Amino acid sequence: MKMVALRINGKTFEAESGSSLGGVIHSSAAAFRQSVTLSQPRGIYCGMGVCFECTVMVDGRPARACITPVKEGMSVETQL
Amino acid sequence: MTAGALECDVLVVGAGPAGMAAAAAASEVGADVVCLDLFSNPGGQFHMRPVTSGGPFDSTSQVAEGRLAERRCRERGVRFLEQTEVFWAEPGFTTFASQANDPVAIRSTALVVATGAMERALPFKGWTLPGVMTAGAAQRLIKTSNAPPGRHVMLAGSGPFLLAVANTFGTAGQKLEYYVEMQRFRLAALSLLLANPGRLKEAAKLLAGVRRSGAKILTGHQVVEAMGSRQLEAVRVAPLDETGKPITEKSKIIENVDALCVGYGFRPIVDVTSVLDASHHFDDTLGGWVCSVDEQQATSVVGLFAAGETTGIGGAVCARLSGRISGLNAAAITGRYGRRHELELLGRRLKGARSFAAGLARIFPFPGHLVEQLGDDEIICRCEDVKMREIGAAISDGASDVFGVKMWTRAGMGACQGRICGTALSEIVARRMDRPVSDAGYNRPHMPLRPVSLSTADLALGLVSETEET
Repeated sequence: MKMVALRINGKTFEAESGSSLGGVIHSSAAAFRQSVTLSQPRGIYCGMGVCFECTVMVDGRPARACITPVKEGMSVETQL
Repeated sequence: MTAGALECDVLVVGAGPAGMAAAAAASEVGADVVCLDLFSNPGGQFHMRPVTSGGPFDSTSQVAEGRLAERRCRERGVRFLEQTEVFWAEPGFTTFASQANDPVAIRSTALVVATGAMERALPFKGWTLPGVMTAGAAQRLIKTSNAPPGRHVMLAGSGPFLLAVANTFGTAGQKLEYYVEMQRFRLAALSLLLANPGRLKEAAKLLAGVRRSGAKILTGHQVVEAMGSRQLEAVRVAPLDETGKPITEKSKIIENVDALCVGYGFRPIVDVTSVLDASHHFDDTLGGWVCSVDEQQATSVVGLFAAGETTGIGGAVCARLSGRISGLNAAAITGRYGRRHELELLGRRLKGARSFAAGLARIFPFPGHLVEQLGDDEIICRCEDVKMREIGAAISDGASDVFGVKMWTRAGMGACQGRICGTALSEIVARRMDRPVSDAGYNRPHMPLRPVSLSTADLALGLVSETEET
């Protein structure tokens, strides 16, 4: 088992290499995004890249957390 | 592998059971095949590979079969493109994709679309609360990150997939507290299995897995509300009367639930076949709108084939058989022929597998009527926060189909392009207008099929004009 370190909102997390970023974020906070119009809290919904509810910034680009494998040194920003 | 501009005889979109069967079959008879897929590994959702090697999922037959299918493809020279998502396709065929933000353009003589299925989602009170997710999401969290969906989990909805998800919890050693199924297990289930004895063992294993999970099982019940302030805290469930309506006065609140995983079955993903103008039709028992195919798995567009869930929800057995048929016929377009008697045999087996799937669909009918329970304040389109009130007003003002509602309200215009709310929208429109669901229409896909950065799209489209000039 190979572990990697990544930063989520400036905090360091350890996770197994290749595991889904969505799982890492969800395990620490179910609510991590805001909806577009009503700013409601949102989290993982479809888990397979269809709904875009888990969109976060990964190294400065938007990405769906649920289909993004974690990598060493990855820098992640969530809305909430 | 990484791409750029590629050419091949047969391009297969999707590397699930159907896509890999198609790729293997076409390459066996000598076609040059490229197979692309959105995820990090071939296998689709069915053969989804666990992160941990040596973990509880590593030794399951589903994972082993996926690895074997991939190896067979690679031995025959199939080129796989992982983490690659199609955002446009043109007749002839040129398929444009983004491979983790890098541009890809692939020209092929034949195209096989095996893009699989997604959850046939239905809104209910409180469904946007964090902690509420699809049943498939729960399964993916466990398999792709060893992360349980929550500490106190309820699995709810209807259909055989819930049994599979409950088993995933069991295999992972994760706790599942409640299992809520709308149907009561009926004699019909037993008679279907007796008519298909080959499936008895599989069914017995699934049922034993649910019992082993230790979950409290409620059949003939429905989730009527997800409750919580900023995330899920409790769930209200109600028993159903003989007509399938929840008995509100008998509903009860189950406290201390932080993950509610809901599934009502699947719908085919048909965006690539739609943009290429293939014929589609509506069949409730096949998951809604499906790509129409003939016995060769050929669509109405010459050279375009479809296989697996794209042609109607039927599970992995149908996917593998229809995938192989589509691969052999796609290769034939490029002048490479397989043995005719194999196609005949595959066709007969596919018919049998389809009839089993149709039997299951009759036991677990899609509960589209649940949209009748939605109050005015419920959000239907999660992307654009469009509420039931606005959709009702649009229909009263003259919107007469899903497209009209989208123009009026923005429902279906957000990042997911109506993939999540589309099922509910068509059920709502049909019921308010007292017309069949097929009359409500569906959102035509537009460029780009999936969000892609302008620079990636521009570069991908440029890859083709460069080849044309040289």
